[in-house]
Amino acid sequence: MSATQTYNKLVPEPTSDSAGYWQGLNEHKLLLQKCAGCGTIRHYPRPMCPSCHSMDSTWVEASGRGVVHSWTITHHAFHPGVRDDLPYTLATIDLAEGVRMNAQLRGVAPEMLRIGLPVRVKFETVKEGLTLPYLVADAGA
Amino acid sequence: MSLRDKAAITGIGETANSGRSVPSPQLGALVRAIKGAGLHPSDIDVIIPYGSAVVADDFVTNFGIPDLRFSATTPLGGASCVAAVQYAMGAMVADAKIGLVSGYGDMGDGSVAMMWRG
Repeated sequence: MSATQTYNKLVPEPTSDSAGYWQGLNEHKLLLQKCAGCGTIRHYPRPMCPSCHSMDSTWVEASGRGVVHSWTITHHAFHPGVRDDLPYTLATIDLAEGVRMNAQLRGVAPEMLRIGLPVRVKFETVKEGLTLPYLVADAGA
Repeated sequence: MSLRDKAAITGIGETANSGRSVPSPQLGALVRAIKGAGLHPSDIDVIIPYGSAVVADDFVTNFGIPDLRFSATTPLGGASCVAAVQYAMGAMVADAKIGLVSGYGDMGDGSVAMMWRG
């Protein structure tokens, strides 16, 4: 899909904790925080490592591959910006790096959804300066 | 029922304004308070966060707390941190062992955290 001039969905507000994540998406990279103290990878971006409580971290690029942990299918437009997307599937996935993320899963019929379905992350620039991740089935997995 | 002598402050932490996100100085101060009391962040049973900008979930995810028992906020403007002390004491009396109260400077210039043990 291409960027539009009339993007009317809710948009994120990057913080000092998450700015690197959003910048990575603009470069079509899925970046995860890695603790500089103990090496634990965490997601979503947050100030502190939940394992060793260090507040120092670096960014590492994820493989973008994972499997479906769970999903919901939305039929009601809770925000006007998503009306044209209905129905859409929102999936929670387990990334290969051991953390979870949410994103729309596209191109998979409801009857084909299952826990453990291999997926991979793709990127969509939706407006100037904002790229979002979405998921597709990973046929090669 | 009086709360007198039912719980005690066992740790205090403080940080300077880090210039980072809102939760950062609170997290840093709380870890100092927890370690000062000889405990581990995942030991926490109760969280009473300052009633704006952060929620208990911020502390659960950053501290790696597996089984938080109770959380609440005490909306009372700048005195919410004071009300939180009484509220945390009530939770200690009722059930929990270890609680956290988080405060935050009005101008973002620091953060103070305290902890109770029933």
